[in-house]
Amino acid sequence: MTTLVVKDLHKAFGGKPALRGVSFEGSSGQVLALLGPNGAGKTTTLRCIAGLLVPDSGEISLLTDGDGARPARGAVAFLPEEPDLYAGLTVEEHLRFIALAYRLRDWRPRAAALIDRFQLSGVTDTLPSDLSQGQRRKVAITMALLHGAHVVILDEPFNGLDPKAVRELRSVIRDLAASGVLVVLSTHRLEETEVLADRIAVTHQGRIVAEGTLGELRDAVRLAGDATLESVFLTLTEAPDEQGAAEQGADEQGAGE
Amino acid sequence: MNRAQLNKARMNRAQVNRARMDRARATGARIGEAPMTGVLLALTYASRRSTGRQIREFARSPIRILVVLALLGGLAALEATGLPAPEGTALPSRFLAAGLSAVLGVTAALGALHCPVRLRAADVAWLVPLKEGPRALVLYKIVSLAATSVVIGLVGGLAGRLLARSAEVDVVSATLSLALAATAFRVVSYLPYMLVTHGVRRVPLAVGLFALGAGAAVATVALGGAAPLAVFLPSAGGHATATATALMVVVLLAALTVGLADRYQDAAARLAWEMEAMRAALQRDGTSLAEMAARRLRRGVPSLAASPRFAGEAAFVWRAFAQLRRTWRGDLAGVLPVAAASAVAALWAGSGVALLPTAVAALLALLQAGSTGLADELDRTPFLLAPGRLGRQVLAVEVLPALAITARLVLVWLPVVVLGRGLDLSARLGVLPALPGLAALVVAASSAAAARTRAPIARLGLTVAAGAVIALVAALADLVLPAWPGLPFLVICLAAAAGLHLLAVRSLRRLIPGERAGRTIMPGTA
Repeated sequence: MTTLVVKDLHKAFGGKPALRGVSFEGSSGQVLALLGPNGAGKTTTLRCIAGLLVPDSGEISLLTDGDGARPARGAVAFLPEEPDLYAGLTVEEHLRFIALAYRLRDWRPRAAALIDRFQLSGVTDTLPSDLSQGQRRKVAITMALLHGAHVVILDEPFNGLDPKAVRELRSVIRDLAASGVLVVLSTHRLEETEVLADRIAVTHQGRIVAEGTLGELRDAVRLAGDATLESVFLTLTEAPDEQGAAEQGADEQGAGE
Repeated sequence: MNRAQLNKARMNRAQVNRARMDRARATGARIGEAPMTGVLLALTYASRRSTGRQIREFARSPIRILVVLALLGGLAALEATGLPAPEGTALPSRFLAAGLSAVLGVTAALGALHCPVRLRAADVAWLVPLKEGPRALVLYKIVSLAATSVVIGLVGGLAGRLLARSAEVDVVSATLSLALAATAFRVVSYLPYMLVTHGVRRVPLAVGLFALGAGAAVATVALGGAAPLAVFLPSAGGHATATATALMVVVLLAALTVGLADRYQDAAARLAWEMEAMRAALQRDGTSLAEMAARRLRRGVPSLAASPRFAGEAAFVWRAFAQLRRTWRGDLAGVLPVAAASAVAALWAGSGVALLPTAVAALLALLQAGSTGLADELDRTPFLLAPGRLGRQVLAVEVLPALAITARLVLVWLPVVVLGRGLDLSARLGVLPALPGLAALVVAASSAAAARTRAPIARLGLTVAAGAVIALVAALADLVLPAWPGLPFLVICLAAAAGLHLLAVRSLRRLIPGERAGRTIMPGTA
C-alpha cells in the first residue's frame, strides 16, 4: 500500500505565485484527477510531485508499508501530454535504457509482458519518429511500469487523441490502478474525469478548492444527488477571487499550461 | 454481433489485459534505489546507440560524405601549402592567456545569471525524477565533454601531425590542454549557478566573478609567462607541474559542482521543454513557429493604430514596422558582438579576414530570413485575404526586412571602413553599395522559399541555399571585374533578387485557390 501525501505546496514564478498551498492525498489503486481550468496550477503541481520543479515550500512524500515515509522521487513516473522519448533510441532500446538507469535485474520477462500488454511487439525496433502519438504514449507508460513506478502521473493525457485512442487509454489507466499503481492525472475534460476518477481534486487559482469523490463534492457544494460534475465544477470554480485572477497569468507563463 | 456479445467481448479483452499486467508485475525484478552509476550507464548506452545510428545514417548519404571529403581535402591543401600568418599580427601568448581569463570570467558571470545546464526533454522526464538523477546528469555532462575533447584532441593532433609530416606536434600535451580548457569552461559556467540555487545572491556573484576574470586577465598581461592560466595554451603544455595543478583545481571544482547539483532542475527543465517545443514547431507547419517568434516581442509597448488611409500594401509595411519597433533592440544586441569581431578583424587581421564578420552577419540574416518576411505573413490569414496586387504586396512585405538587414550589414562593415588595414579606401567604401543588394537577395530568397513550401526546415534550407549560391556567384564576378569594386556584386544580387521575387509571386498564385487578380478570393471555385 502506497500513499502520496502533498502538503501545503507553494510555488512562485518570478515572484508571482502559481501554487498557494496545495494539499491532497492519494493511495495505491486509485485514479486521482486534478481537475481545473487552464492556469489553475495542475501542471505545476504534477511537475513538483515528479521532482521536475522544486517547490518553494511544502512537503511531498510517498508513504509505503514497511519503510515508512520516503521522498517521492524515483518512485514516480511523469508522462507529459506529448511523451518525451529519445529520438535516437528504438522502443526496445528505451526499455534497456530504463533498466540501466534504474538498475533493474531480470527485466526482460517483465518488458516482454508489458510489450505484449500494450501491443507494441510489432514496433520494438522502431524509432519514436515513426510511431503514432498513441504508440509513443504506450511506450512511455511501458517505461514507467518497467521501473516499477508507484505513482504514474499523466498530464492532460486525453488531449489530441481520437475516440478509439481515448477508449484504449481509459482501459490502460483502469488496468494501472487495478495493478496497484496510484494514477494521478490532470485534465479539464469533465467526461473522462467522471468516468475514470475515484477521487477528484478541483484546482482553482493555485489552490485545491475541493477534494473527494463526486458524491462528496456534490455534498460540499450542496447540490442535488443527480447533479453532474459540470455543475459541481462550475459552482466551485466560479467563486470570485480577484487576487488569484491576477496571479493566474504567472502560472500560465511558468508552467506552460 | 449484438450489444450483449460486444460487451462480453470487451470484458474478456479487459480480463486478458489485466492478466498480462499481473504477469508483468509478478515477473518484475526488485526495484531498488538507483545510484548515480545507473544513470551514467544509461546515458552512455543511449549516447552510444544514437551516435552509432547517426554515423550509419551519415555513411548512407553520398552528399555528406563528399562535403566531408572536400573539407578534409581543403584542410590538407592548406597544411601542404602552409599558410603564413600575416606579419606583425601574431599575438604574444600572454595576451591569449589574458583573453582566456577574461572569457572564463564572463562565462562564470553568465552562469550565475542564467541556468547553463542544457538537458533534453527525455532526460527531464526519465532521469531528473531519480534520486541522484540531477547530480548524475551534471557529472555526465562534465565527463562527456572532457572525453569528447580528448577524442577531438587526439584525432586532430594526429591528423595535424600526419598532414604536417612532422613529429614536432606534441599531441598528448595539446590534447590535455584542450580537455582541461573545455572542462574548465563547463565547470566555471555550472558552478556559479549551483551556488545560486543554494542561496548565494545572483547579481553580486556575477559581478564578483566578472571582476575576478578581468583582474586575472590584467595580472596575466603583467606577469607574462608566469601567468597561472598559461597552462591552457598548447605552447605551455610542457609545464608538467602547472598542468597537474590546473588538473587538480578543475577536478576539485567539478566535484564541488556535482555535489551542489541537486536544485538546478527547475530552470533546466523549463529550458528543455522550451527547446522541445521549438523542435516540435520546426517539424510542424509554421503556425506554432510564429507563436514562438511572438515571444520575442517586447510586452507593454502599445500597438500602433493603423490609419484608415493605409490599405493593402501599406498595411503590411505598417505591420512589419510595428513588429520591428518592438524587436530592434534585440536585433541590435545580436549584431553588436559581430560588429565588435569586425573591429578586431579590421585592426589585427589581414584583408581576407576582414570580410569574415560581414559574411557571418549575412549568413545569420539568411538563417533568420527563413522565418520572417513573407514566411511570417503566410502563416497569417490577412495576407491571403487582403485586396490588392500580389506582386506589390510581396514587395511591401519585403521592403522593411531588407532595410533592416542592410542596416545590420552596414553596421558590421563600418569598423572595417574606419579601422581596416590592408585594404585601400576605395575597396572599403566599394563594399558599402553592395550591401543593399545582398540584403535584397536575402529577403527575396526567403520569399521564394516561403512561397514554395510551408515546412519551416525546407524554407530555411531553400533560403540559405539560394542566397548563398547567388552571393557566391556575385562575389566571384566581383573578383573577376576588380575595376568596379562591389558594382558587379550589386548588379547580380539585384537581378537575382528580382528573379526570386517573381518566382515567389508565381508560386503564390498557384498556392492561392480561386481568383486573385479580381481582388476577391473564392475558395473552391478554381
